[in-house]
Amino acid sequence: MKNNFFIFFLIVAGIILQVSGFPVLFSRGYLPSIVLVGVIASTIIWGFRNALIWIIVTGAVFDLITYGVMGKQVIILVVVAYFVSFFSKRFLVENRGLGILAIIILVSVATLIFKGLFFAIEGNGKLISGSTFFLSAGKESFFNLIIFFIIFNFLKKRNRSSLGKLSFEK
Amino acid sequence: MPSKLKFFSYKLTKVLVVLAIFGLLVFFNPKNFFRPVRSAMFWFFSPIQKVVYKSSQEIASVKDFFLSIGDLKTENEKLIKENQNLMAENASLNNIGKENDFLRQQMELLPREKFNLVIANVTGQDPYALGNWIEIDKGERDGIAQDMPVIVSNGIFIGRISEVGFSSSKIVLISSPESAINGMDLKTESKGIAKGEYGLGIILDMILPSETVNVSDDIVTSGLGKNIPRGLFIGKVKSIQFSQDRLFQQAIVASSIDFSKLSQVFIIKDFKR
Repeated sequence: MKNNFFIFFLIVAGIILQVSGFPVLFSRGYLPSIVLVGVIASTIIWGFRNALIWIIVTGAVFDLITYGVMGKQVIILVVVAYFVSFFSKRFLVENRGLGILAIIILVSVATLIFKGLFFAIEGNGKLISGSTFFLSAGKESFFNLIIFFIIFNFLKKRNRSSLGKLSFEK
Repeated sequence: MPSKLKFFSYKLTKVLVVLAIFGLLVFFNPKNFFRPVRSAMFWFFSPIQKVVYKSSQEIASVKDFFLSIGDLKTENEKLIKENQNLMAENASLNNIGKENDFLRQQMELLPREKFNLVIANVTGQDPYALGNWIEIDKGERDGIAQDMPVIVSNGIFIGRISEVGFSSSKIVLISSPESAINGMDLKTESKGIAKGEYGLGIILDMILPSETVNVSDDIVTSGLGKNIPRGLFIGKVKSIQFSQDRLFQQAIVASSIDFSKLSQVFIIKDFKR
């Protein structure tokens, strides 16, 4: 229970940072997504089945805090998590050796999918031009990667201690 | 049946179930159903968001300072020149001020004293870097209602209230594609619809080809909408083009506001018509 509260706290902290911190700190046009990175890292470490409930909670809280239509973020994040799980099952995703290359590809493609889905669902058919889209996705992937390594290592450490064992037993 | 031959894996089934449930929620969009939860969340998180937002602004200003060190010398020279120009301009503006009062009366532009304003702090922004909306810490309990216009201190129109919670609200910015406001060229009185466009900022669209719009002209609200007073400054015309079907003119409008740096805004609760 204590760990569930802790995870919920992390989710809310990430979302508040995404809504009230990042838009001010980063230039308009590109913005790293701590929420997306959190979903990628938790899917890799905890596995899709265990992470799914928290991904749904993240999407729902995000939709509530951002006045979004309830369910939009959940759909986007679940699809991204499914892709991540599909990918991470087939390739060695680790923060050393060739695994780093897999991480770079994974985070970049996940960012592209996330942005693409976002524009498909939120953009009401109005899309930004292809070059702008890929340019901002490229910049976002770079920052997402940096955040990913921080979150990934943090979650991995927590997973080795009590957090993962208590909350996510298969 | 061997697991490989299973048409739907367990994982995929789960995904499809989640997508179906939340897809239905998106389709039916039961806004009011989640309203109490949303209001409770904002009541709880809004103070934290305010602190995070302010701290981020502090960090951003430090970052901006360090990034701008290299440009300080040229910036300084530019400012000295600008200062000289402004001093000259100031002298002539004293005369124009009197003329402006007369014009306001003629054009029924509203002096700001006639607005009933509510001040609000910005607590959040569009988290997708599109600059479509901002969140503020004022809501229903402060008398805020949907569609109220929002300005910044010097009377520049920035958007309107799109959703209201108990203690917070969402403002759709004029640069958002969701926004459409009646606007006009202050000089020529050519009318159009000011709306946001991805990557272009603000466009004054639907201007008849017979009407005149010039680069550098001021664009203001025309007051045709029921809730928005006439004469709120939107921006200056940057360039003019024809719509794709060539039926209308479009003016690309540059706002003087950096929406990502907003910290306080004013909501016009009421105004004298």
